[in-house]
Amino acid sequence: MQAHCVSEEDATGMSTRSDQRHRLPDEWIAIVDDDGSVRTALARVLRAEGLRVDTFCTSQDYLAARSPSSEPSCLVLDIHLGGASSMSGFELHDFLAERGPMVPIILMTAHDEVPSADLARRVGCDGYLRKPFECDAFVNLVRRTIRTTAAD
Amino acid sequence: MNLSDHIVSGAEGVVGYTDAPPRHKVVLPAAIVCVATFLGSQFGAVVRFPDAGSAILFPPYAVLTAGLILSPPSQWWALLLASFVGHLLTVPATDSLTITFAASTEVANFARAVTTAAALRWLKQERPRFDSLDGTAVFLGVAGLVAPAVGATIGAAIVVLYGQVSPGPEPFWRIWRAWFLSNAIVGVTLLPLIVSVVTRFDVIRRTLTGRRLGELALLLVGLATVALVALVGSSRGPLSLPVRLYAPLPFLLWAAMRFGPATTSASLLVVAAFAIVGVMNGMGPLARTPSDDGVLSLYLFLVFTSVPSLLLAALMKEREQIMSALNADIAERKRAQEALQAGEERMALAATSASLGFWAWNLRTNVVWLSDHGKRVWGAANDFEPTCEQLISRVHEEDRQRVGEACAAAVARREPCEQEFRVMREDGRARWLSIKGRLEFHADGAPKQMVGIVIDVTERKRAEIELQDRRQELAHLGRVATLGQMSGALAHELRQPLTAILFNTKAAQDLLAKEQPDLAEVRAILKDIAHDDARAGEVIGRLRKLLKKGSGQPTYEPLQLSAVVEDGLDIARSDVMARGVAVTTELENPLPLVRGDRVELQQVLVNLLLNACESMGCKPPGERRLTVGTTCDDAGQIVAYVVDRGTGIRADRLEQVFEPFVTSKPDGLGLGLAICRTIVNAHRGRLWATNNADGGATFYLALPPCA
Repeated sequence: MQAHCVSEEDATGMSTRSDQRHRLPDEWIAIVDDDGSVRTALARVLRAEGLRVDTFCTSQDYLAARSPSSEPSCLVLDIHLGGASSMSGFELHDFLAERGPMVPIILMTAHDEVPSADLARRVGCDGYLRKPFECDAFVNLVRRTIRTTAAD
Repeated sequence: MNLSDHIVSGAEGVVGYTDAPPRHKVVLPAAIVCVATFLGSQFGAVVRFPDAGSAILFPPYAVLTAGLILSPPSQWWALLLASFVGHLLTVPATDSLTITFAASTEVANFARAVTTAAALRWLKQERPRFDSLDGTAVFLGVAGLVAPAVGATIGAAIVVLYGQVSPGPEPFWRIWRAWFLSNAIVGVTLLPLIVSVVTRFDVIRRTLTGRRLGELALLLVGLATVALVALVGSSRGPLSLPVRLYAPLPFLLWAAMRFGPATTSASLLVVAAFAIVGVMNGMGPLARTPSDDGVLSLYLFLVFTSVPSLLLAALMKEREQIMSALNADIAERKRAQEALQAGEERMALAATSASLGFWAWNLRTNVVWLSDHGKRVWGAANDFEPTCEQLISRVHEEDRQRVGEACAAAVARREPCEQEFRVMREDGRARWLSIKGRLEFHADGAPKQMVGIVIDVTERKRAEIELQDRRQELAHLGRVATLGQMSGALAHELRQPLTAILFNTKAAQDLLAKEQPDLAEVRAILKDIAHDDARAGEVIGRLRKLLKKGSGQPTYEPLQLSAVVEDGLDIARSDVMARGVAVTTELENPLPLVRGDRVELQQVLVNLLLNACESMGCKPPGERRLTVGTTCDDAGQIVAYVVDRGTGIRADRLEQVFEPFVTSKPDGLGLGLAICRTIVNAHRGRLWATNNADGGATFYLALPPCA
């Protein structure tokens, strides 16, 4: 499961981020998903939309990369993050909520879990998507979230 | 009566004589002999030959001889002494010469008696019962010929020696003849009577009652009357000599045929008594001649009458015994035959009610005998004497070769034969038969024939096949249920690649829409799409492994259990992953192969793995550890085990969890483990669970190795 976090993939993500930082310095998207294929595919589409994207395999990776000065405009988070010691999507959400202003979060899941959808709405997530989802819907949700945040 | 009882009771245990007899058993016979001798001597002194001066009938000989015959030799001394005393008591104590002479003549008496008793013992007739021709002939020969001759020789010598002889020519032979004749008459009349009455006393007492007693009285009275008229009546009467001599014969025949030796002897004694009276008084048919010849005639008459009569009586007894033995034998045979017949009928009944047929295969002629029921079930009712090949030709072609080879192999290896196969009946329907047979051997050890039973087991087979179908259906339903249980995890596994494919396609489309598309990136995207597609395909493939329905027959094949476990892990991977369970494998490879249906065994493993994952659901992710392994146990069984770190199973439910509808899950049907056990049982294996000492449970699957 950890094997999905291929290091060269993250290296690719990093290079993309540095290219786009100057264009949209404040609007960058962080994707946390333990499935490498999904992570890469989502990032490709968002980048094609001209957004700056960083991908992370685990919650810990994400926490290590962020800083209070550089919060993402939107965090796309998979609920089920593999690995016995890994922090799940909800746990990361709670962790962030305890530490200052909330980053807009879009939750994703590949499971049919109705309780998760309710929970996502209750904790005030900005979006909840069940895989597989439409590209356009996803892009629109991400853009809407960014706009809402910017408007705030 | 005491004497008779004593002797009769002694007769029952002849062995008792050889031991030292109790004192009273010596004293009593001796006393009787003494008294009887005394009386007999007195009687003999009265019944004398007028000229020879010796007794016509000398009972002491019979008394002493009977005593010796009926006593063991160790008691003879007492009887001889008693006889001597009894004899001396009759002698008037006038002078010493008379006493010495009397004592000397007693030597002759001893010689007769001892000769008779000893000769009978020597000739194995120590207890004459006059119920066989041989025995009676020997008795009469010894007692009526040999012993009187011995006694007469000694007696005559003594008489001549003592000069106690009346004047006349040839004193020795005259005296010898007188002694011989008188003792011979006693030997063939009185002696048999005493001996037969004593030895046959039990028989006489038992049979001589009521009408028989009346008949006996009639016989004796009739005989006495006839004898009186014929033997004592005036010789000048109207009756001719032959008529008079033969007159007692019907009565003697009557006694011999209707009664027996004792009565015959008694009758003979009656005849003898009247004959003697006749001769002594010069009357009757025997008194015509001078007195010496008259005594000879008397003797010959009595011998010729007694010997055939006694022999006839003995013959009758012998015949009677043979007849009764024959009757007993016939009755016994009849009983045995009836028992056999009843046994056979019961056997046939049991065989019929058990639908059992019998067969015997003669290995020399190759002909098979079949019971009627056996022929029916084999569909060979019309074959008279089918050969082994004919019967095997009726076996279903798929089973034919196997059955033929198995029978031949059983004969060659001298082992019992047990086979199940189908036969094709004439109506074209197949029936399942089961035969069991064992070999029988000649004395030289060569196989002679194989005998056995045949049963129609079609119904059982049909039920078995039906049961197998049901089991397979159940197993399939179990797999479907397992799939349902796994569908969440499987869906997750499919959704990931599907999502990736969708977004990669969109990204590629966007890239290609640009004026200068980054073709390298498009190529990378297409490669990723292909990869994800393969991933999805793999998930589907795993699904199909479990969904595969049996083709009617389970495909039992040699399997490496470790490989089956790996398949199971593969199928359950999505769930294991989804639940964040870490798996450790301890697979031994290669292990001895097991025989089984791959899909069904995978199903068992998947169920065990899913249960293990579920049992750890309430544990923190770091403690969800699963160990799966295979090994070969001490008994040679191939074992797969699944160790979880879950909550374990309550001790009283360790066996219950395998029963249907027993579940710990709120939404479970409780069929998973029940179906698993059914599958494992069908594989002749075992499935069980134990609790671990350090928490959690271990499930074991044990299968026998391939033969």
